[in-house]
Amino acid sequence: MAGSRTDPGGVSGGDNRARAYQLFAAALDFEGELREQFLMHECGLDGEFRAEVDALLLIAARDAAATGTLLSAPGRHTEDLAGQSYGHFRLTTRIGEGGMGVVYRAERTDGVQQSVAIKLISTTVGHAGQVRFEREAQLLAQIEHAAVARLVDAGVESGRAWIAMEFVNGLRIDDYCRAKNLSTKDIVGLLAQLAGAVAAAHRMLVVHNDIKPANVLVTADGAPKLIDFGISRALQEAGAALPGAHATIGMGRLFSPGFAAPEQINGGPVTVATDVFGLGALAYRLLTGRSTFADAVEPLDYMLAISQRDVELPSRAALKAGRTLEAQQLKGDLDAILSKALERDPARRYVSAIDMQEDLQNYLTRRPVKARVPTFHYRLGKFVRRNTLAVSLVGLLVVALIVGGTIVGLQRSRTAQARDVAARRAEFIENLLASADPGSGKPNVTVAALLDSAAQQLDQKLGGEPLVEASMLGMIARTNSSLGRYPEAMAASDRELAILRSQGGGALELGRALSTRGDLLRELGKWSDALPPLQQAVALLKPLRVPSDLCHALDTLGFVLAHADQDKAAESTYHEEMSIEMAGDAQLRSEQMHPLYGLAILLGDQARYTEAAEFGRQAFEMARKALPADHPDLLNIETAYANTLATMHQSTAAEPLFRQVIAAQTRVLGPEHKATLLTKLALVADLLDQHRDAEAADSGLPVARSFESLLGADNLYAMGAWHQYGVAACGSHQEEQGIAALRRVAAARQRIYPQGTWVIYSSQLGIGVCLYHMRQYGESESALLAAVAGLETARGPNFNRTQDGYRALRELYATLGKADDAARWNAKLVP
Amino acid sequence: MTDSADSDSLRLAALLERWSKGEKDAYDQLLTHLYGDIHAIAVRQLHGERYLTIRPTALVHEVYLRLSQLRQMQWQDRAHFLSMAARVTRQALVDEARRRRAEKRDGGRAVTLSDTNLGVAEAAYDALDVDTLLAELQQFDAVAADIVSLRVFGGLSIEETAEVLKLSVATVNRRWVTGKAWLARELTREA
Repeated sequence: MAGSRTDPGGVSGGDNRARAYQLFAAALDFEGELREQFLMHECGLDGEFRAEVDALLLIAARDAAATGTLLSAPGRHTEDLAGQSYGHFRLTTRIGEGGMGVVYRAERTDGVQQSVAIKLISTTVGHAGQVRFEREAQLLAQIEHAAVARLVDAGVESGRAWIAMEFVNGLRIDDYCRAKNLSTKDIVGLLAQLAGAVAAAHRMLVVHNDIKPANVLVTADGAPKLIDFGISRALQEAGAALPGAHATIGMGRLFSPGFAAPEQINGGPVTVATDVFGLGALAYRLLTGRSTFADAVEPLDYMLAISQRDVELPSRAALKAGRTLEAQQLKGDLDAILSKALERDPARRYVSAIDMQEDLQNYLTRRPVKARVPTFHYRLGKFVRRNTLAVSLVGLLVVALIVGGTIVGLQRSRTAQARDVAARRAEFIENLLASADPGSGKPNVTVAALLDSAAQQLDQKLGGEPLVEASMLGMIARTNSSLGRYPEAMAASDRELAILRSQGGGALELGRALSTRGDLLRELGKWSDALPPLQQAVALLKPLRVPSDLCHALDTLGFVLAHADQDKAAESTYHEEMSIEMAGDAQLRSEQMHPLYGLAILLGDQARYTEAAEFGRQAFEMARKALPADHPDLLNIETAYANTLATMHQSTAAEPLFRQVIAAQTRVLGPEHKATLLTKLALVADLLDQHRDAEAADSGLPVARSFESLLGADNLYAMGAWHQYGVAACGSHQEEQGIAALRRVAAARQRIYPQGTWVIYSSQLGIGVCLYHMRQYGESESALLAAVAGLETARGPNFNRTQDGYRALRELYATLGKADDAARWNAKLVP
Repeated sequence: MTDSADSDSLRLAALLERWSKGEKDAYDQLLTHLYGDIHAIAVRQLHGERYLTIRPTALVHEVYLRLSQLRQMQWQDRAHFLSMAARVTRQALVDEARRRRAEKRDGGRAVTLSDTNLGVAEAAYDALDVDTLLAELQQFDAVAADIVSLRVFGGLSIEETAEVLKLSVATVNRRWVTGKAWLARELTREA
């Protein structure tokens, strides 16, 4: 005996023994013909090897017979039904048993060559139930997708329901993954295909409702197939009570422990989000080797577990299962994707199976994964809020716009009428998509054109659904705004508000619409116009317990107040936002980076540099943890942080940070995007601080021109850029051009800003310095004195610009030989 | 009972008390103590016998019964105690078998064990073979190997095994079936 075990060759060799053991363990999941197929598939013609597996199976079977151990659930249908007819089919061989009943292979009796699998459901269905069951089945039969086993026929025979499905010659997906020893990437690839199949069914308004390994087969050529699509739901609709080891009745509901979503257990509405959870649970099982709540196998335990705690992080579960390599691979992106799909609150999961599929693809193609960004709706808002947009996200938004509409329909598809509405909406969206389809002969349809066509068609197609139309208009407004298409965004926002006001939209809808409006006006730099809608939005949203919407509105309001020179109000608004976020869940807490970022800028402008730098640092740390490397929000916050460093005269530390951000923004957003231009502008200011005026002038001119063409000459950013350019030009022997730019800005600022606003004096200061360079000392003196007086009043003596003014006056008086005056101004400088 | 047996019992009771409070060094001392006990019982049973087969489950149960008279044990305590005993028993039997082989005592008789759990009733297996095979199974199904070891050397029930390994009963059942079948297959393989 001992000798044979040391023999490394032959079947009894160590590696082969391990393989035989694993195959044996996997084969126990099958019975009858399926087990035979599995073994043929795996052992092929290796007779010796096959004999080894068979020997193990034999021992296990004898053992089971002797001890009464259950190797597999004993047949509830012990009688052999082969030869019986159901509909056009005759049963040939029994091929297995699932949670819902016994499965036979069957052939058609009417001469047509078609091989199907017939599942005989272990339950009885009454007459009324039969009618509903057959109607549901007709709907299910319409699902056509390569990765969905087609429902061929269904019926009820002597009270027993049966379904005939396309026969799939394949292995259960978990056995397939194990037998083929698939890599994490391979498994993710299979899952992405499945998510696509689920999405296709969702477009038919059908939810699977029971996604788990037993319902996914993989054929020999590696193609996954979903079986039993919508069957459990159809049977429930028919009033059938299902027995079974895997499917269990809990609170009168059917569910599979390890795979069922909370709403399937606690009685919430079953929607596409339920299938997103199912896909997540399947992915969890395949990738970690453990089911969700692996310690809660009993239905009751699972019910308790899923209603009380979140699913353990996949990478940790893999580690517990001893899969260290997989645990490493799961960390980060896949942890985020699976956790998002497995959120207990359906609203926080992926909005659709398509979104999940896209994120799985993102993982496979190493693109940033969206699940790593906080909640979807909040992110939608942020497109505008941060006025930045990765181009790839446009696609997502359009999909959300489209699918978002469909989901409303799905959730209401209980009644035939609602189903009609959903179908019309789906049709509308399909037509819209068709115009973007390269196959339709219009290859170059852009997202912009798609949005315009959506905006045009909405009214005529969805005029009867004002609230849906309004919400779509809101999304169109936000998307256009993030694309920099401000007139189009304004038009959509106008229509959204008009519809909501005339149709009596609720506080939530109106609050959101006004918040969008305020955002848009902020984007255009129209501070005084932006304040009223934002203040209204805050007032409407405050009593509603919608913290993320409220925080979004507060954040925009804080920003606008800060720029409208209402610093105190801005600061308290940011603090209010932070306190709401701090009291929220983890996701909301991570949003604190935005008010922190706002405060860093605000306090920096108030010469509270130490506090500003601390807020900037906190925001930067938070953003770096929460966002992927190239995320636009992270880049913005990085700019703000670099800005605070720059204003603290740590210019040399800030410069590389600015350059790094510009490179990333150019890559992600393009060179002419507003966010990119803003960072370039910050770099110009930084170069000026370092007295590299010629370089600042060279890089400032194109930035100023770009801002002007993007946002108009009166836009504050355009003015800021011209101002910087003017100062730089004056400092590098281009006084004529410089002072011209500064004078234009000064005139515009005097026109636009309220009297006494510090930027007006900042312009004056620039002009004074330029006049000094031009040796027009008298004019320079009066300009500088006026500027310094204004800055002192507006911002105090320690403010950077005020100090610049003191410095300029010191130089002026030194040049004029007035040593006493020079010393007086010098004394005011902070060392 | 003799005086020394009494003081021994008291020491053991104190150790059990400290162990149940989670003191790590108490666990180590208990292991040493149990090892002495179990090894002694095994040697005594085997003494002078040529064909006697040890039943580890019976052996462990004997020790357990004795200890439970010293101190009231909770169910979880029991499961964890048994898992400790399983470890000790496996080690004691393997050590004894190696010693016998090395010293050629008792004619170099192997230490054999039997367990009705192992399927083939009344069959006796070489303790060293079982140990070697479990070490091999550990390589490709560590969970199954742990389960078989606990069940065969410690006499733990399926539920107790699940408790100790923090697994579901279903999983333990399942891996027990596969692990046991594999062990049985290897033990009965023709040379």
